[in-house]
Amino acid sequence: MSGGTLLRSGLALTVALGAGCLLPQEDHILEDLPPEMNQPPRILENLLQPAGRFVSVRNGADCPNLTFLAPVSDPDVGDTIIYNFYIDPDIDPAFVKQSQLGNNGQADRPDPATLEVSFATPGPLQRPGEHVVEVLVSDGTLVNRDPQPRPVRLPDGGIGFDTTYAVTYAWVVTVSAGGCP
Amino acid sequence: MRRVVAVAALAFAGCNLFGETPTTSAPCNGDSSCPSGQSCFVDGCGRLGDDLIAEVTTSAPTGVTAVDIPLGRPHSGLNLVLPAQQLLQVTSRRGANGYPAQRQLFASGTSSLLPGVGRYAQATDGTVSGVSPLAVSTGIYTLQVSPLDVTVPPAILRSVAVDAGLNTATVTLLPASDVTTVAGLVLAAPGAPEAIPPGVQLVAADGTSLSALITANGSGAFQLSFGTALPAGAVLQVTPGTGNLLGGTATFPVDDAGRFTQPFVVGDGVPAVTVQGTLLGPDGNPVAGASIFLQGLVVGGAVATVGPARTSDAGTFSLQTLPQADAGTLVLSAIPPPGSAAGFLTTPADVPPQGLVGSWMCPARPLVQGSVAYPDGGPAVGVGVRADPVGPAGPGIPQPPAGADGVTDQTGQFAVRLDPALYRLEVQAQGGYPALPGFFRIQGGGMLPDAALVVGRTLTANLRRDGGTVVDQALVRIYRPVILDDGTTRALLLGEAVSNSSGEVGILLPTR
Repeated sequence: MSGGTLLRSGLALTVALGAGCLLPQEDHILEDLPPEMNQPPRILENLLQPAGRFVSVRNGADCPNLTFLAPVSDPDVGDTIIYNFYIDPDIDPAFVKQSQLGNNGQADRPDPATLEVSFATPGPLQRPGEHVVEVLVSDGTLVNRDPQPRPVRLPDGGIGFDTTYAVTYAWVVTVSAGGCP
Repeated sequence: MRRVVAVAALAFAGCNLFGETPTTSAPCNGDSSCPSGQSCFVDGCGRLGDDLIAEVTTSAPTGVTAVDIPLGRPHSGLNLVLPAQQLLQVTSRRGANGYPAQRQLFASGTSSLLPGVGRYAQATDGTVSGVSPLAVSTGIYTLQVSPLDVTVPPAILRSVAVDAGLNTATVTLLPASDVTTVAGLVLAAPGAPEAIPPGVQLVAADGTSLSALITANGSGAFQLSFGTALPAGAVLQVTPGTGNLLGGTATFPVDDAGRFTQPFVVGDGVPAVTVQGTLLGPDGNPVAGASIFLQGLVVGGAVATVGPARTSDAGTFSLQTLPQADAGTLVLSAIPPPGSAAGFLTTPADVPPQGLVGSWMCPARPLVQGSVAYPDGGPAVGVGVRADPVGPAGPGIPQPPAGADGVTDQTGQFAVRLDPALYRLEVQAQGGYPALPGFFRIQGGGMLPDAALVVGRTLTANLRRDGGTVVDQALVRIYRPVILDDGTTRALLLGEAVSNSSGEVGILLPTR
């Protein structure tokens, strides 16, 4: 082999190496992404019923039922949404209704949080005066009104806790004595 | 042996082991590609019925309103066109001119297409022209305009029909020449005003407001303005002031304006008494977490509601009330929590001026059972069932405030405890099957008719305003009118969803 041939071969090898096809790969393995943090649910205030924050009704047994609706959205489409309704929670902290929303795999949940109040039933809204009706919506388990952190598996195999959230809306209901003309 | 049991369980579970999903039918291309009587949906041919009504609730700067739209024969990609604005333009007149001062507008009514769906709207406005925009859903309403100036009596307009779009109504307030003003005095006992000044208002026999609702002053004095004559059956209604949790609503006949020369004595100026006791279930065990109310005529003759008191773990409670007007005029109601074997109790309670100590036993809450199956007859396992009361079981029977939830077991059976009432009972959506709702009147325990999940079809619709604007985040609820066992008609909610940013909505509904 001549010197020129050797030089050409060396150049070819250098070019081949320089092209990078033989560069060593990184030797560390990409780790799993940590689990996504929980995002809070949201009450769609533009679709609440009754629409206004202030509601006036009569309390006669013949009056139509008063329905409260609170549509809910949660970007975490797999979250279970629990809701509680309270009437005058400053006086009576126990909820009057607890339920959970259906899940259609979409952020905007298919059915709203709902409370139907009948004036033919003994209840706090039969008393004339001002009352507060509050809906509390949570994407976590509730202990009283407090959403509980939910355990999540971390990439290193450990257990962490993800914050869950509760959001609320309240109506002021003015109840007047009398039937519905 | 354990393995045999496991294999047997697998065999019984059959095709439902991993949750059966409905068979998707072949996609269709227009209604003409479907069998007679069926329409084309995104998930195949099917029939949803020709009697569906959509209630579309949207938000606009003027307020939140709902428009009811009959769907005719539904098919894929319905165009639901909403009016550019949904308003009731209320003109308040006094004499020849528009009423220029602050006023409250209140509309209460029902949907004209969806029996049983109540609707309200209210606003406060001070437009000088007297013309007020009020965001009102479609329906039939009673409209009341109440000036904040209490010397101008409220005016009422009945049977106001509100259609989709812009509606108008004119309410005429009494001119000053037609208004009578009287002064009166309301007292707790002769010579003793109420500790918390009460509200007073003149009300017609049918509940119509004849005057503004005002608060008496500290000595019990008040002035009310009303029309030139009081109609037969008119009453002065005295309601407890804010913070008075014990007082009741007293009514005094006032057919004649001369009655105002004498004080109105409510007669409730006596010390409160305590009702305490224990609530027991049908098995004699204490009922915890129940709500206790007392309701009826208290001393002086006012109608009062006190409560709720909550029962402790030992079933005990304590409640403050005014003594009864007469023996048997007060009723104690106990509402055990959902799921309890103890049922709703209403019973007369004698509450003399010395108070009352006792124990009360709830009746058994009826156990209602049912089953849910897949279309092939296999048991639907782990399906949620929810029952919400929507009406009383019958005349004179109080409607319970809450229903109950249940889940089907391995055999597809469920059992829930429900107080007697009319319920909307829903077998919740499972896999690809739609929710299956229905009305059931529960009088006692027993078996409900077997429920079979049915294949659903997705009703898709595009929501637009008149001008073509996309309507996003609209709540679309689909109802079907149903005739109940008592012959009345009620709208049954079948499904609901919120439209996306393109104004599209898809709701899985049961086929017929």
